[in-house]
Amino acid sequence: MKLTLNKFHVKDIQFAQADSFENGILYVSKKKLAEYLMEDTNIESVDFDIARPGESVRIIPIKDVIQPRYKQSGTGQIFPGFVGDVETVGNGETNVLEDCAVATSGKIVAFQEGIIDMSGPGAEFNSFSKMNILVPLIYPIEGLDKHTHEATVRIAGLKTAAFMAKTTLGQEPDEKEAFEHETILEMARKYPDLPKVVYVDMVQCQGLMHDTYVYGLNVKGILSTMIGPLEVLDGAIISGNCAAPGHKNATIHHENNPIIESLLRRHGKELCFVGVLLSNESAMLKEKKRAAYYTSNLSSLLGVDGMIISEEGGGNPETDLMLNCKFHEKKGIKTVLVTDEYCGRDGASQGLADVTPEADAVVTNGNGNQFVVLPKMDKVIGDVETVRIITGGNADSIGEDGSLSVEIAAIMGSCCEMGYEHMMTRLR
Amino acid sequence: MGNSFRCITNNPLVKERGFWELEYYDTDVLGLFHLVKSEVEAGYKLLTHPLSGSIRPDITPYKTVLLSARAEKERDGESEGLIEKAIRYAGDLYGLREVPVYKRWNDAAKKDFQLVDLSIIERALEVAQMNR
Repeated sequence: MKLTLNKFHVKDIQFAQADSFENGILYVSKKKLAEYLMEDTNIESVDFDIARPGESVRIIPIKDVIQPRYKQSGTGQIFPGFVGDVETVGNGETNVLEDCAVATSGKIVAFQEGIIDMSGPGAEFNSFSKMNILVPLIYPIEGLDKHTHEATVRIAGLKTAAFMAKTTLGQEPDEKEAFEHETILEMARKYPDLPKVVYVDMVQCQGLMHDTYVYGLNVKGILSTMIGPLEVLDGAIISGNCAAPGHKNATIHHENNPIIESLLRRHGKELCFVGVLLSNESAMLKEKKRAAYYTSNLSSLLGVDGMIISEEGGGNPETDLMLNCKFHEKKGIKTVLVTDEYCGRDGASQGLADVTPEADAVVTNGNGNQFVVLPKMDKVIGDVETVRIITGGNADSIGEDGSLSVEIAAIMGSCCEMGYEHMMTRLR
Repeated sequence: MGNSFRCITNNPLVKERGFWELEYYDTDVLGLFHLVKSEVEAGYKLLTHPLSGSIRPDITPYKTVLLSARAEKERDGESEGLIEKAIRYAGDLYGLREVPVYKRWNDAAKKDFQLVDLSIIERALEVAQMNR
C-alpha cells in the first residue's frame, strides 16, 4: 500500500469570484462555499474570514483545526463517512494544502474552545500561527440542540477543508512525500530482525463534545481495533472532541499524526512499524480495563516488541494510559507513553491524575497550567468575550488594556499529546 | 428490580431527569469526591472514573459518579487509589487561583456544564448496557 501526499505550499488566501489555486495563492469564492455549507439546513448563516501569519489577529473561540486535503487518485475520498463515502482511503495520491488550515469558529457549543494568535507571544505556542487560516463562522438555526449543533460545525469544517483543496486537482505539487506500508505477513518476512513496534492511538468517546469518529462512526463502546497508518493520514479519524484546547487531538493532528509519520519514515530501516491500534477512552472503569486489556491482547497477537501510546485529554484518560502501559509491560512489551501535564503554575504539582510504576519511559509535551499574558490584537475573529468561559481562561481573563491572561491550556494545540508542537517539560 | 448501581451527583439536571434512584448533594466537585471516598471506604466500588470527561474539576461545577449497588466487606484497592488521586488532582487545580474557576459561571454556562455531565453519564450507562 502506498499513499503519496502531493504538497502545495499556500502563500496566501484571498476571497475571489471563482475558486482556484494559482502560484501559491488560494482564491476562495465566499458565495460558492457558503452555498455548499448551507446545504446543511441546520446552518442559519455562515461568514468567512482570513488570518495570516504575523498579523495582529486573534481567532477565538476555535473548535477544530483541519488541514485541507482532497484525493487526486486512489479509492475513497478525504474524510470518509463525512465528505467522502464510506470507502477505503490511504492509497493513491492526496493533494495537501501545506501552511494552511481551516479553523471553525462562530457561535460554538460552549466552553473548551481555543485561541490562535497570529503574532506575539501566543503565536509561539503552536504551528497554526504560521499558517494561512480560513475561518468559517457558523451560525446555527434557532433552537438547535447541542449535539446537532456540534455535528453541524464539525461537518462544515471538514467540507470547507475539502472544498479548498479541491482547487489543486490536476496541478503539479511543490513537493511529494510517499509513505509505504506492507501487509503484516509481508513485513514480517522482509524485516525479521528489526524491532516490531505498534502505535496505540487513544481515542476519546464519552458523550457530548467528547467523541471521535473513524470512517464516520462514533467509536463509543468499540472493542479496541486496528487501522492502517495510511488510512489515518488520509482523514479516516475525525475529531468531535472538545478536550481542553491545549491538548485536544484536533483533526489536523490526526491527519499529520507525528508519531505515525515518524514511525513510517523509520519503517524498514530502524524498526518494523506494524500498525495502529485504537484504544477507547471511556468514562466507565470496566470499559477502560476492557479497552486496555484488549489492546494489549492485539499487541500480543501481532507479536510486537514495543508499543508507543498517545493520550487525548487529561484526568481520567491517564488511567487508560497507565492501564495500557501496565498490561503491555506485563506481557513483556516495552512501552513509551506520550502525554502532557497539569502541574500547577510553578510546575511543582503531580502532573498526571494517575500513574503506575511500569511507566518508566514517558514523553511529556508541556504544562497546561503555565500562565501567559497575550497582548491585545488589532483584530479579533470570533468573540473575545468567550475567553471568560474557555478552559484556561476565567471571568477576569480580559485586562483593562485588552490583554488576555490565560493558562496555555487555552491555546489551540499548545501541549499536543501527539508531539505536534515543540513544548517539553524540564525536570529540575 | 433495583438498580445495579448507586448514582452520586451534585448535578441538578441529573436530579431533574430523575430516572435513577440517585443521591443528590449540594456541594462542589471536591466535596462530592470526599463523599465518594467515604463510600469507597465503606466497601462500595467505583464504576465510573471520578474525573470522567475532559473538563477539569476546577472548571466544571458538576460531577456524577456511579458506585456499585452493594458494599463488599473488603475495600476495593483500585477504587480507593483512584478517588484519592482524584482528590489530590482536584485539590491541586482548585489551588491554581484564589477563587476556583467553577465558582464564577453564569446560569447559561452552568446549564452547559450540567448537560455535558449528564451526557457523559448517559453514555457510560449506554455503553455498559446498564441503562433502563
